Amino acid sequence: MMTDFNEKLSCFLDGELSSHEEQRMLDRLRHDEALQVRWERYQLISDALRNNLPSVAMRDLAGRVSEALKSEPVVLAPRRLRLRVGKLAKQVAGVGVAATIATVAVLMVQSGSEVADQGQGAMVASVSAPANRSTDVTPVNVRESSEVQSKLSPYIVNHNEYSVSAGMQGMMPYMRIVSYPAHEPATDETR
Amino acid sequence: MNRQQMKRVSPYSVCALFLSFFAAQIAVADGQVAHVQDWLRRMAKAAHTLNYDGTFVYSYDNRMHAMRLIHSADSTGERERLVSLNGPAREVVRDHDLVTCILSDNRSVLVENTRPAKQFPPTFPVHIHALNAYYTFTAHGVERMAGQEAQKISIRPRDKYRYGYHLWVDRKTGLLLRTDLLNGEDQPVEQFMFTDIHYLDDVPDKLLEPGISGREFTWYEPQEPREDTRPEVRHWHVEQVPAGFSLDVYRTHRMASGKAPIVHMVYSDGMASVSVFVEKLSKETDTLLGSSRVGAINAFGRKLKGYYVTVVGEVPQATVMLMGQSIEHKP
Repeated sequence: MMTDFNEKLSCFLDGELSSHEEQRMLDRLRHDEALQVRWERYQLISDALRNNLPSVAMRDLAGRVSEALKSEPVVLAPRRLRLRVGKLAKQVAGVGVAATIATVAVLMVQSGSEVADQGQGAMVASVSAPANRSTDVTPVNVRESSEVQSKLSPYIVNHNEYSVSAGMQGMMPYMRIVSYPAHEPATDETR
Repeated sequence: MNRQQMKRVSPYSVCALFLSFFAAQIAVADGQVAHVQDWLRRMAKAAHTLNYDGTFVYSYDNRMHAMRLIHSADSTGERERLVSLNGPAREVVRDHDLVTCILSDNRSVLVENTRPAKQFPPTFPVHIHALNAYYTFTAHGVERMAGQEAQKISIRPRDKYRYGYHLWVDRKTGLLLRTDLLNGEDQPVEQFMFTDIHYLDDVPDKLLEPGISGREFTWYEPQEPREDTRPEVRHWHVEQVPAGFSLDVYRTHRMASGKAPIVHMVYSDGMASVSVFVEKLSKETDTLLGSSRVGAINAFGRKLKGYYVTVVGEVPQATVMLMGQSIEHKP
């Protein structure tokens, strides 16, 4: 039963449902929060496979999603999804599909913020708070969690490529990206 | 000179070493600045022209990290591979103008087009005389690093807006073997040091290929290659920059995975650089607000008139905050 439903959800993602079925799926999505979360995951997998993640927020979500997927008994085999998405990509995403995804994207953003909030909560719960040693100025708030740092990575990559230190040291500045701690939230806010 | 030749002439190189040691002592006595300038020039050149395979430790905030760095350079350009040896498997691979960061713990791969090879940071090579107002330069003696004789150089800031440096440069090759980045109290903010270095004649391709395929990870790539323009009209201005810093680059660029182009400004005093990124506020963007630090990189983020401003640089927190708080939009 559940497998059937997941199958449908997957078809929906790939734009393979009839318009009647699509409408029913959208109605269900609007009212079922758990389903919204699951839909978001599928959507993310799909986006990820098409190298199409839109923003920093989504990127972080994608990390969490893949973490969650590891522990979740995945009914929908990712390999199959990949094939479907590949097919979808080849179809150059028909207009109907694009419209469907756009409609659902609204739901996605809403539930996305929920997931983000949960993540934040978990992070605060495990604060270990090393002292902030910078004595230059009183910090407004210093965030050193790995989450923040991974968010900064794209900026640091772009910075490195234009900084004087890159001229002097080549790729050495990338040691900062390679070494930031993993899943080890240090401090959230130090005042 | 290959390694066998070096072995053969070793008695001479011992003499040469003594001579160069005395030469260094004499140079310390006079013309410090010119001497340091020569070393920095050599160092900058070496970073982009040598073939080597080395292991180094990187430490900050009581954390230690071992990494392997392989670099190759030929007439076609540079290739590099940086591999973390402890903790999560992470790699950064540069293939000419493409940088790929493979982060296995995030299950993500970040790809960026880099600056075109010809456009080295415009302030390079360093003009130390112009920097004298902001730093003092000292050449020290020779110390041993990773089994090589290394020239120690100190660069100390004259104000709180930049870090100081101790540098150890391989006397034979010019390669930077160790760096200590120092805060205002002369305490290291971060350090890296080669523990082992092998200079190579040729670097086998295999060494430069990523060890993690990352095929099953999420890839973030620029949608269109090298979308990078230098706009004539500049709407964003940083009103307060520490003395000596000036605008090197003002470009618009579409970051990997970014929807809208961002404005990227690079300020530099010739030693340190600060990047200011401005991007349109969008619902799903979740970026840094406040301050953060990764090793010697300080970052500061804020919202301003419907935009996100993110400032990052290998400078103290005071600098990124000053610049981030004084940015303005002028239509």
